[in-house]
Amino acid sequence: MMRLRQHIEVAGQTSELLFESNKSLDRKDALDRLASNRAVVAEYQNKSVTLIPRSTTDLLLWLIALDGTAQSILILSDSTPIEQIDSFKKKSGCRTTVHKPFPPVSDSLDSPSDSKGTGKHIHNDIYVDTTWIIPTSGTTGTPKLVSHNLESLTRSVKMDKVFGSQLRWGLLYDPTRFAGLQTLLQSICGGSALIQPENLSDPDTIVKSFIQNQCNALSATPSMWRRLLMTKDFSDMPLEFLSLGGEIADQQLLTMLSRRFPDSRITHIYASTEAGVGFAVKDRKAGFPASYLATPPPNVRIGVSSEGQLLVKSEKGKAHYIAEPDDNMANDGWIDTGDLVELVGDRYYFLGRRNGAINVGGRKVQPTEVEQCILETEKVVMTRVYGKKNPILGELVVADIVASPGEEESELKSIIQSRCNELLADYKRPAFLKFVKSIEITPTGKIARI
Amino acid sequence: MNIRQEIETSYREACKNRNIEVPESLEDDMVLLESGLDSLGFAVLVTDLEMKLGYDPFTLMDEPVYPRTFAELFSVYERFKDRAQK
Repeated sequence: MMRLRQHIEVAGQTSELLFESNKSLDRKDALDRLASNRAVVAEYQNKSVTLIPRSTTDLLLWLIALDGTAQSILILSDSTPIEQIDSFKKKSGCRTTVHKPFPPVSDSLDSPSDSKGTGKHIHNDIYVDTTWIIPTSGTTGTPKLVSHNLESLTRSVKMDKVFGSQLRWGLLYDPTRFAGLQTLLQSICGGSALIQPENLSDPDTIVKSFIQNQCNALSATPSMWRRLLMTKDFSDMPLEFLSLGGEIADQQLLTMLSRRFPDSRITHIYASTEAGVGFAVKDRKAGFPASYLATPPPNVRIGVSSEGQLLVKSEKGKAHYIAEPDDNMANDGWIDTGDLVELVGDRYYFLGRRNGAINVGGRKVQPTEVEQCILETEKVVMTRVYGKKNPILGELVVADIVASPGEEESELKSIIQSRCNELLADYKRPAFLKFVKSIEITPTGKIARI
Repeated sequence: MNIRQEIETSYREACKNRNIEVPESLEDDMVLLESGLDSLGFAVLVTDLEMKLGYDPFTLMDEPVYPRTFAELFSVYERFKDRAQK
């Protein structure tokens, strides 16, 4: 198993590694900084470290330095609440904290040009199989810690550095979280560049900065893609690789992206932090072929429980919860993802989370099923379906709607209503449609659930 | 704000949305369950009125009362009108 540092060494050293805050870091710069700070890094040899980086540059350099050196690395976002940091550190045993910037090239005794290292402080060729620990997104409650290794995290990463050298990945996710880390590792191990936009709250600025920096590969959640689709310059992005993950990719969005970027490769990825990575679907169609159960994509096995829940099992690498009952990992390596699927014809479609259901008089409604029905109306940019407390039936289905610019609300309302009447059982149809200007997106890029 | 009028309007809308024939005139003694509006329609009506009037009498009352006739429905809303939030 190649360590991160070795991936940097074998790629073209003058190639750009990261662009952040108007500064470019190429692979040689990174190796010089590592070589120059061998003594600093040696302090963490075989230690269990909590890494709380201040920037993507710091995260990237510390990861390259610590992978293969530290016993384990717990990666936490700078915005993690202090009491949660303490609890995570305790659970994981990662008691040494790294929060400082990765030092620049210094005039110390170690020569920067000697990037192979002298072995004075680190046994360069003896690597530890570092454990990487990442919290789950906590969509369904308190975040849990999941233990990975580099192999399990890079299972779906394309390592072809000749091909990868042509790619410039845009980073929209928090790189300390699972999805962002995937993009970061793809850039490092694939020999590509990574572009960190300045201001993540304004989609117009993001798109402009991606165009300026020739970003041609982008991974985002369906909610993020919809937000980008609303920007004026979106179609000017030179995108060749588009990937969707983290939420259900609906057909409407896949079709829209296919129309804007007809020659691109569009993939939607099913992944869970627990399973490492799941699998990719490349045919521009929502859901996944039922044939995946018998002939799964590489390194993964896929199953569906009798209750319609998606089960996955990784064939390689390892991932397990730390200090939590391993309920959903106990079953011979099969992980119950908690995502509900439904077989229609020769494809499985995602219905949503098992425990995200709205209860209308004892009948369960999956918000995402209703959302997908609404999104099929071409004039809706975004929607969020949720339950509203009701004294008669417990809950009723309500939908917030962001209309495409210029759409007449009353007309759109009747289009949505007739669509829902046609496709959904009566208790699943939104009792109320609320037109709103925007819908909040969480730091992990998913619709903020109410 | 005319509560009676709001209830009538919402009632007609609820019937329309549930594809139920709207009674021509809403008489005081009209039995709600016989008017065609089922529990889902009734639930929608209550939430619609909560949004329009700013209160939901069914969550405010100590003893649950389920109105039988249109007049009873109206009186439930009339009774809690001082609790309106807007």
